[in-house]
Amino acid sequence: MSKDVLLQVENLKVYFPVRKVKIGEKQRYVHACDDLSFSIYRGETFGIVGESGCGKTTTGKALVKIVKPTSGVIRYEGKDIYRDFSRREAFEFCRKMQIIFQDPFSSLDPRFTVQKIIQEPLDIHRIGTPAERRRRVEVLMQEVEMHTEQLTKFPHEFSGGQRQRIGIARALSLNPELIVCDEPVSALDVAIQAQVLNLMCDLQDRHNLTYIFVSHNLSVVKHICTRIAVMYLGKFVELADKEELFKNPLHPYTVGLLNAIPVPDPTVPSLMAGIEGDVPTPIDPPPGCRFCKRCPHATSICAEKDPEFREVAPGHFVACHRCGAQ
Amino acid sequence: MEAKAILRRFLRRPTAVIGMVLLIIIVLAAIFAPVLAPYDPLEQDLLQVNKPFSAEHLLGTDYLGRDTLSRILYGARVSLSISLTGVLLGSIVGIVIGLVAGYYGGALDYAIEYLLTILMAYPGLLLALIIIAIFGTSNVNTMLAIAVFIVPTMARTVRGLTFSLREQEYIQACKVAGASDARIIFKHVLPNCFSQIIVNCTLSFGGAILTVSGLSYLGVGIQPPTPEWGMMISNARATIRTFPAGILVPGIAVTLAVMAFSLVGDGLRDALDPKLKNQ
Repeated sequence: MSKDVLLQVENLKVYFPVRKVKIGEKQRYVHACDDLSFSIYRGETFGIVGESGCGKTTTGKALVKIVKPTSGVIRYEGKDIYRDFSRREAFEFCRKMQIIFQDPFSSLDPRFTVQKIIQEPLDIHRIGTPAERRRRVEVLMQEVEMHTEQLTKFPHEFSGGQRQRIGIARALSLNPELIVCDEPVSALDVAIQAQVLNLMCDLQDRHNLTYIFVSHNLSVVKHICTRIAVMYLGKFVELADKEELFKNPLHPYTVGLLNAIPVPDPTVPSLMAGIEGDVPTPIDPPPGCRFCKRCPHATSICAEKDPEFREVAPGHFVACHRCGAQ
Repeated sequence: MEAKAILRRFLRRPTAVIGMVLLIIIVLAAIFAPVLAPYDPLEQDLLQVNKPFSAEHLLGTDYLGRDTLSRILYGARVSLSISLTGVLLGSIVGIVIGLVAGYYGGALDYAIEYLLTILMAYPGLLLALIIIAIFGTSNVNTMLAIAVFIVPTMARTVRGLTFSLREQEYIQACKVAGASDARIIFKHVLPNCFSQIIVNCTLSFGGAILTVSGLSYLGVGIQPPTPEWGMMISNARATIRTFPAGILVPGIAVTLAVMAFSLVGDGLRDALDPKLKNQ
C-alpha cells in the first residue's frame, strides 16, 4: 500500500451544548470528539472502534459534513473541506466522500422506489442524460448483487441486508473515493454481516475505495480493516496497524477490549477480566486521562495530566503515561 | 404505502364509510344545488311564511316564506366554499411556517413557536371575531378568519414532523450527496408529512364549517340574503317554540356536515397510520 495521504484530520473537536435547565447555569458541553488528529491513506480501511457513546459516529459524520466541527481542520488531498472550497467546489466535492449508515431502515426514504433512491445523487449532480442515469442504476444494482427487477419496489419490501446493499449502491453512485461506513453491519444478523462485509471488500478492490469503518465489533474490524483506532470518550487512546494492535496492544483499554472478544471455544478459559465500571459522562470531562477511573494501572499522574497521544513505535500511537516510560 | 392498501383499510371501517357517503352527498348537493333546488333560495312568498313540511315545500318555508330545502342546498355551497378556501389558505401558510421552523430550527423556530403558542391561547372563535372586528364583515374576511384559525395547529403539526424527519438518515444521505435545502424539503420532508397534513385538513374542515356557521349565527359571518346555515338558525330563533323545524333543519345540516368530515378524518388517520397496518 502506498502511503499517499488522502484525508488529514488535525485537532478535530466536536462539542454539543447541553441544554440548560436552570437560569444562569453555566453552558456545559458534551465532548463527543475531543482533539483528534489522524491521517487516512489512500486505499486503506481505517477502523474506529469504541463503546457506545464514545463519539465514533460523530467523528465519521463530521468528516462528511453532517455534523459541524467545533474546531479543527479536515484536509482532503491537502484542501480544508470547510474553508478552502467555494460553494461550487464544495458541491463538486460531495462526489468524493459518501457515507453508509448504520440503520438500513431509516436510511432509505420510504416513499421512494429503489430506482429513485439510487438515482437521486445522480439527479442532484445532473450526471448524464436520464437514460444514462437509469442505465447506471442498473449497473450499480448488479454491483451490489441485486436483481434489476427489484428497482420498482419500495424499501419496506426488502430485508435489512438488501436495504443495506441499496444504501451501498447509493453511496457508490457518484464514484466516490472515500466512504465513511457508520457501523454498516451492526444492525444485520451474523450470516448477512459476512455477506455484506465481503461485498464491501470486493467493491473496495474493484473501485479502489478508501473506507473509514466505524464499528463496536472487534471481530468485524479485524476482518476488514488495515489500521485501527481505539476510541474512548471522544479521544483516540491507541492507533496502530491491525496486526500490531492485536498482537501488541499497549493501552490498558485496548487490552480490556481485546480480552472481551468472545472465543468460540468452550475449552479456552475466558479472559473476560474485561474492564470494570461504566463509561463516565462525556459532559465536561475532568482533566487527566479519561480512562483513569477504570484503569487497573492508574497512578496519581493519570488523574492530573492528560496523556499525550504519541508514537511509541513506527505507526503505533498510544495515549498513556505508562507507555511513555518504557 | 400504496394508495390501494390505504383505500382498503379505509373502507374496512364502517364509520369512515358512513362519513364518506355523507360527505359525497353533501358535496354533490352543493355542486348541483341549482339543478336540485325546487325554488329560488331568495324568492320570498309572504303568504307562505313558516310553513311545516309539505309536498310543495319538502322542508317547509322560513319566516319570509323562502323554500328551506333550496336554502339548505345553496347554503351547502357557501359553507363548503368558504371553509375550503379558508382551510386551504390556512394550511398552506401553516405548512410553510412549520417547514421553515422545523427544518432550520434555532432562534427562528423559537420565535415562531412562541407566536404560535400565543395564537393558540385564544379560542378559535374569539380569534375569528377579532379578525372580523378589525377588517369588517364580508365573505373574504370570514375566509381569512378561518385561515387564521387553521394556521397554528397545522404549523405545529408540520413543525414537529419536520423536526423528526430532519434527523432521519435518508435526509442526511441527501445532504452528503450535496442536495439543496429546497430539494430536501420538497422531495423528502413534505411528501413524508403529507398523510398527516391530509388528516389534519380533513379534521379541521369540520371545525371550519362550524366556525362559519357560528360567525353567521352571530351576524358577523356571511351576510344576508345569501343563504347560510348558521344564519338560518339565527333567523328562526324568534319562532323556536311555535316553529321548531326552522332551526332544526339547518341545525341538522350543520351537524351532518361536521360529522361527515370528522368521520372521514378519523378514518383517514387510522388508514394512514403505519402502526395499525395489520388491522
